[in-house]
Amino acid sequence: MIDAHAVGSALGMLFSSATPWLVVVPGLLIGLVLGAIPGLQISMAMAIFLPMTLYMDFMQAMLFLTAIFTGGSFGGSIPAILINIPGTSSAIATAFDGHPMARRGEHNTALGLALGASCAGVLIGYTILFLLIGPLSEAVLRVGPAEMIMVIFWGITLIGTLSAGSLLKGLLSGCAGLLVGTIGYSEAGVARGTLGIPNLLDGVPVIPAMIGMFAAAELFRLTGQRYLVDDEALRRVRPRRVLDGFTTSLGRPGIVVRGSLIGVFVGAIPGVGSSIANLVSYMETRRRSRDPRSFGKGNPAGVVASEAANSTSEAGSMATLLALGIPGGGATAVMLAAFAMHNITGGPQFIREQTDVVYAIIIANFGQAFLLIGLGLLTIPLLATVIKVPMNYLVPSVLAVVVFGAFGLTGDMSGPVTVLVFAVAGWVFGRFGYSVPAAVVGILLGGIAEDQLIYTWQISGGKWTYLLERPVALALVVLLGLSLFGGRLARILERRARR
Amino acid sequence: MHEPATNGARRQIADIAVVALLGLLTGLYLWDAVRASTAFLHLILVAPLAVLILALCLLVLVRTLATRPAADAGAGGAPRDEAAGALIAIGLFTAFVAALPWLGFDGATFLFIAAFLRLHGESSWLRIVIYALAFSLGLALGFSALLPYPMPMLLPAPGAG
Repeated sequence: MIDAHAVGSALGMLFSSATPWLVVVPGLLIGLVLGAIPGLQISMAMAIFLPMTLYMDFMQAMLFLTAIFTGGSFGGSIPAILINIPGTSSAIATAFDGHPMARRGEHNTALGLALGASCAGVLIGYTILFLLIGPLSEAVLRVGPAEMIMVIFWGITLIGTLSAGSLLKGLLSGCAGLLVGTIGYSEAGVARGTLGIPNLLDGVPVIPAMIGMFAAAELFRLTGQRYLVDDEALRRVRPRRVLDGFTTSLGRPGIVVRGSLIGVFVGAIPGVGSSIANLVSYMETRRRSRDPRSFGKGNPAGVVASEAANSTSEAGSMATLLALGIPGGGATAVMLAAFAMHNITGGPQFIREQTDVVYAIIIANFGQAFLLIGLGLLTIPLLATVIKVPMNYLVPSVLAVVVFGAFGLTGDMSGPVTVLVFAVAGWVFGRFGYSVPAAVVGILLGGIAEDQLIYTWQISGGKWTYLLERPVALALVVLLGLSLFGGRLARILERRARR
Repeated sequence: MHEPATNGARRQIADIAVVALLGLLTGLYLWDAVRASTAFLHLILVAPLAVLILALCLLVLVRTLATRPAADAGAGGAPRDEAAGALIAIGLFTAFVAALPWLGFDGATFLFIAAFLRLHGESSWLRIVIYALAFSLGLALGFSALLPYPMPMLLPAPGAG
């Protein structure tokens, strides 16, 4: 399964000189810092620095971009924990327990937990990729539109049941998000829900909408407070506690390995994987916990589960990029652009003919994970000082950064206006017990869900019995049913058993 | 004496208003989609999803009406002061976004941060002006250097012709 000759050649490419590694530390730092700024996406950071890769050889370009990706995957958890604004959709579940920990003054521990789980996740994810890149790419090819639509519905249901005041409101939020995600031109070439605004013909700008909803729910709510953490003694940044959190996360190998496995396999599903993997891992860890009620209130296991899965989903999306030439999301789409800039096409032929390059990229990511440990431990104390900033300074500053970031994403005023509209919607949702994360995931995946439903319909010829021929899709239907009614079913069975 | 009950009733009305607004917007979207085209593929997700949302809205509405108004303050258990503070912040943020094309990103950010600080307890004008100026200029110059397209600015960016 492993081509030893290619591995030897890859090691030679990486370690015959220091040149390939010169770009890794700057890449990790760029990812860490830009990932930690709410409003700046990893994909955006990678796109900004993409032109620089023109002056690098292909290997160096890939190391630079994957370093930004790795740094940014962890960087996104910093605002999720400190100010409840996930830097990316893959850090949504990190905020569930990370932010309550920060509010209790355990921000140092939470950041350490996230760093430990992220680094372990990257290592495990790329190890799986190293061992299984061939079979994994074949498995991804078997995931059809029917499976993808079921993954989307399952993800929305999971998050709706996890994060809202009630199941009904959670589902309502997710469905409303999905509907918003369909605004614009449909597959039939007809526009709907655009209110005559030309900017909406291509749909709602999803990243500004996500930033608006998250920023609003928390920042507007926090305006009345003086500090994120009330107790001055708890606001201190203690590198020792960060280190404690780091080692604690490594002391939970079960959660890390389970999260990593979920991350790499769910993360490999193009387009939807990274948004869903962290939620599935979080839900599974909560389900297996002896104290599921402590989740959402600052349980460290929640942070570990989410971060292990989201950092591993990077390896999953790299599998589809390398093996099939299909980008799994924004970040891998930028990498695909780098492939094109260097006249390289991803896919089975690339793996067959340039196996050494593929192995070199994977092995380099092991090195990046270790470098991230050092850089993370060094930079967290600096990035965590946000906890010491008074709220009357922090709130307008973050809101301003968010608006600039949104303008950067769309290139016109539609970005800032989208942030504003969804900021108000997010605040209303949060205040009345609706699920902001479910709505956001819905908006992100609404367009994809519609496309996949249409493809399923076309492939099946309109016969719903087609689902019976797709065992993975059927299994996902069962999981969806269990997510919705599993708890109730268990209670009924328990009551009957007592009688 | 009657204030807690009144607050509970207010919360219930606000809850009903939110779910009714969600239902109304969904209905309008469905109407717009059907009006645009009745092609099956055009409505394959939108129509069943909109019907599901309307059904969920109805269930939430029934549940809200069936629940006795809680005798505590604010929606979702949040104090009303918090809502007032948030509404002021939303108002300022709206004015900020609306002012961007006219005042530029630098000018609008300066005014937004200065106004926010003043309204949220910062008493020293010197601190307000220094922070708002340093932050807005740093942010505007940093982003205008990073982004490949022009940003509306009050002051000309360095190097701009």
